[in-house]
Amino acid sequence: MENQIRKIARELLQSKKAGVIIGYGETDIAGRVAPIFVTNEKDTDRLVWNSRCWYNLARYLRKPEVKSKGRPAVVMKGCDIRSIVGLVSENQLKREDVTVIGVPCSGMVKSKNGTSSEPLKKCIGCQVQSPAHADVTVGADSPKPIEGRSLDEEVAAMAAMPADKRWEFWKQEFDRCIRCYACRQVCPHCFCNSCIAEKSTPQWISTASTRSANFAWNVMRAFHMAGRCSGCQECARACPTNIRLDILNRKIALDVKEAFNFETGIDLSAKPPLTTYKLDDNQEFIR
Amino acid sequence: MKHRLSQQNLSEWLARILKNDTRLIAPVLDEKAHDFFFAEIQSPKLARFDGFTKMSAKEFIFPRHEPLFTYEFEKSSIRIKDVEPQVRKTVIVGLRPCDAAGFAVMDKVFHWDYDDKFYWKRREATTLITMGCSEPLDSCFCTSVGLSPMNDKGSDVLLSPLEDGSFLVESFTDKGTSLVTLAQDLFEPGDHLDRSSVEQKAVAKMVRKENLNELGSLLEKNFENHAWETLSCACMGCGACAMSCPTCHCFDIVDEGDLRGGVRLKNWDCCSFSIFTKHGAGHNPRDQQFKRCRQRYMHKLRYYKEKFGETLCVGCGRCVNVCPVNLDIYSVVTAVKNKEAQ
Repeated sequence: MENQIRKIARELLQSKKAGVIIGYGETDIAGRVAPIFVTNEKDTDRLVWNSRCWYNLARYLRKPEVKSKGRPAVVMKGCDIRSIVGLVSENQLKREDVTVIGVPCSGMVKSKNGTSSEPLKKCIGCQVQSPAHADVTVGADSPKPIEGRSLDEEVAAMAAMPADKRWEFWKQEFDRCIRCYACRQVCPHCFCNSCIAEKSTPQWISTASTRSANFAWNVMRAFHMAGRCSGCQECARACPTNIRLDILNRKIALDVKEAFNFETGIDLSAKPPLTTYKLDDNQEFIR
Repeated sequence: MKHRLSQQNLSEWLARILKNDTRLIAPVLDEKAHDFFFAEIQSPKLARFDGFTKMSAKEFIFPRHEPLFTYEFEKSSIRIKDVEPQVRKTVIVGLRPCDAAGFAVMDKVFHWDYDDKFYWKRREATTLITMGCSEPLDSCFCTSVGLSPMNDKGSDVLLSPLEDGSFLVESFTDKGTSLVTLAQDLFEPGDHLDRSSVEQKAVAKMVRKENLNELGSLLEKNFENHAWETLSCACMGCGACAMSCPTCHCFDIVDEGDLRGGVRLKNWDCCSFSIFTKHGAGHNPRDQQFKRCRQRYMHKLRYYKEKFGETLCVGCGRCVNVCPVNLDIYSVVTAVKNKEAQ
């Protein structure tokens, strides 16, 4: 599959159909992978595909330094493409402005250098292993399903917990928050030019790493993601103190699914429910 | 003075330290987070010396947020009340040599044009017991910045793991020695012991071998090198690197309050944030991410050395390990160094 990706990259650069290929490449540390930005045909050999290609590269479609390199072509897993669909539906991206190189995925592993085969939480039970909405798809399409205790099972277990136990859990989680905003920075959908956490006149939330301010930040970001989060779980992966943001964002996404029968990133023409109003919108949950 | 300490007695020593009205901080395995972090412990059993923490220990001396003073608005004046830092006698055990060196290096900036009483009150009340490293990680590069897996810079006490499972204990300060005399019966004589052989074994295991300690003029010459832009393109501008770093010390001073009054806080900040250098008038001299990345690396390997004679980076590799996109100061700087050599 690596060779196919490289071939497609070369063709796109040669024919000038792309000015930059956003993909995955090796780093100096054995086994580790990082996002790379290829603008030269000779550098296409740096593109790799393995079990550590976790990054949701859709995020880079918003980065000015990447945009200035020319028309992008991006190596995407099924989960990443959901972000592209989400961005298109929010008018942040025109579908025809990016070439999506879809790659069927048998799951990513937790370990940075691939020495353990324990899968990333988000991969367990994945429904989008075969990438939809791709312009070109590489490889043979029969990825193995990924087994394990899925995130949805964890979310259901958490929802069944009494409120005081959930409070204890989230207190411990958010006490670890250092307000580095890695969650915000890696998220393809956090595209506000000026984040609410950066405003000081007036100040909306405290920037100090205290319990109440950490709750305010994390819960507020999760609420802003309601109906928009594509479930890529980059926020949880990026968090340096391993906060379970995936549980929080997935719970809200499931609530949106139940209330509006909507999931981000499946249908290119669907609009996020919290940004639209229809006369026949479900109102049963309004009390 | 040198001593030998057995594994068992290490645990007992920590118990005695705890009983001596001391706050004990050690690396623990956080079960919820499934990773190692420094935390306060009430039982020596929780101390883990078999892992590498994700965050440094700096927050126990340089907290994530610190109130400086409170203010109340009165009819035509403002009443200001200083906040005295609440400080307890503290021991941090299980620091790595990079962490201990980090405190020694960071001391310089807090003792520069202003003696930061908040920092120094905590610093003086804290004793650092370092655990040497026998198994460096492949992200480690302390040897590239003039340190080593069993270096004693900044340590009050250094424990070097010996081949037989016991530790060579060396104390370098009065604070360190007083901790040893607190439990003298637990320590055997160790003047005949030496850490150079275990240190050499550890150094031989280091994968990263470039010297980054003398790059001042190379970095100065290459300030405008286009390589910075290409090499740091993946950076998304979060603060994970700075916040996990043992020596990053930038802070943001903010007033938080309402119509009645409030508090002035000193919070951790990060030069990777897009608004870090944004002026009140709106101009931002570091308006692109690569400029912010470049500045961070320059600060670590050039500016701080020019100002204080010390490399600010201690080669712990935490920034490399927490970076959401595997951006790596060692890789970027050696790439610039090698491009220069071409």
